[in-house]
Amino acid sequence: MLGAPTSERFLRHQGRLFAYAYAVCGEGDLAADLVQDCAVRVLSARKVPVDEPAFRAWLYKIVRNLWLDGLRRVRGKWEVPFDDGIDDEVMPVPMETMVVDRLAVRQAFTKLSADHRDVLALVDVGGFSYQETAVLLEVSKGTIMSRVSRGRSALGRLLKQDNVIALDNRRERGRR
Amino acid sequence: MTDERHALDKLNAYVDGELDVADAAAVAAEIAQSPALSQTVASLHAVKSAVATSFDAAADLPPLPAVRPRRRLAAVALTGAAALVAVIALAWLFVAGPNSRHAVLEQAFQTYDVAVQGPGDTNALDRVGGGILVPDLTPAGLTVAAYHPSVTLDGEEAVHIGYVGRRGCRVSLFVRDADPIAQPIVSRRDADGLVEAWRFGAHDYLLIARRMDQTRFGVIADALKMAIRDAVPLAPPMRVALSGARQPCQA
Repeated sequence: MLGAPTSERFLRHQGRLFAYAYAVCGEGDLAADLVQDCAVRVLSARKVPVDEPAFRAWLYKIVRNLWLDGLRRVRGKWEVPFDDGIDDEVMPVPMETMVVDRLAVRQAFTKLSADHRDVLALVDVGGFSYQETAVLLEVSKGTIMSRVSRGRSALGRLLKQDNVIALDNRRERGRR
Repeated sequence: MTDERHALDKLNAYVDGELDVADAAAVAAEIAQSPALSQTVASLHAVKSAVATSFDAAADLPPLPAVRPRRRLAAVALTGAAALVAVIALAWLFVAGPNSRHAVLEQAFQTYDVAVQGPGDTNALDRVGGGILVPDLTPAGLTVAAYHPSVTLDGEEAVHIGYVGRRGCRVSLFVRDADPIAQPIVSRRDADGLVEAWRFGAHDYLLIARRMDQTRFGVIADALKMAIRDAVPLAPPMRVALSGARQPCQA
């Protein structure tokens, strides 16, 4: 069955790939398009990485490149400059255990700088290690470590500002 | 400022499982001794988990496009329809069938919920077969109370080891053969349960708990990872960290 092994391999990653695309682009419909475009490229490719980690990294790289290509065409629509001031201060991450609703996370994610979105999407959504992410983004592992840290702090502050429900409060509501 | 940033970078690397054994043990020991640090790590876990789970597709994704490898266009001309049917069938199986990632977790939590009730089986450890490494969690107040050499998680056989504490805290560790192309389970810490998944060597490991303090769970997860990775007794700093991780579980 020609093509079936690759499609089967792709399908195993499709869900996380969509989540990654959604995280970087901020729109569900666009994310679905990116994943479909990625599927076209993968299924029509002459050579497909045999090694599974390489195959997985390849998929994410395709989605990322598709997104960046689209971004260049409509430059400025989503791009937030790296030095955006969000993360000037160090570490006032939320100090209580909390439950964050998905919508709040999605909204906050769009306010992060492009670099922070990029790295957090690969590490937290894609599940890549710092080293794998460094290779994908062609930067040093130290840079990834720093961006993860700053990005997560910035996101924590954004979530702290609004749309965050303290865990205990939620339980209280549940008991009523 | 630089020191603070460096410390924060290290805490994030700890949360991401990126530190080496010695550094992770040292950080875990610091966390166990510092409520403020413990809260910070819990917050970082919360943000990480929130990001990991906030972008999942709300609905089924469309089936894959009917595309064939370019170099094979001529060869597949006669079998194109069959290939298309196969691709669509695979897509249907994927989107309509159970999410294997969730199925594993659902079945793991079902086992967790029924496996260890009360004080557990005090002879469980004696029944553990050869070749199975059972990490010692007694510094954290947890002892082996259940051992099942063959439980089923999404159709795959797994070993289950249940740990229980004197006041009802419980964690379950599952070990099964690694599936290199299976969709990975995302570690998370939320109101529905605590999940830590990792791979080492030829096995996938899954640690789960309910109503356990997130920091305690994190320290236990790190201790298990180190014990399994090193296959030796836990290093003293990690034992100190475990002994400090005694936060009570919710009823």
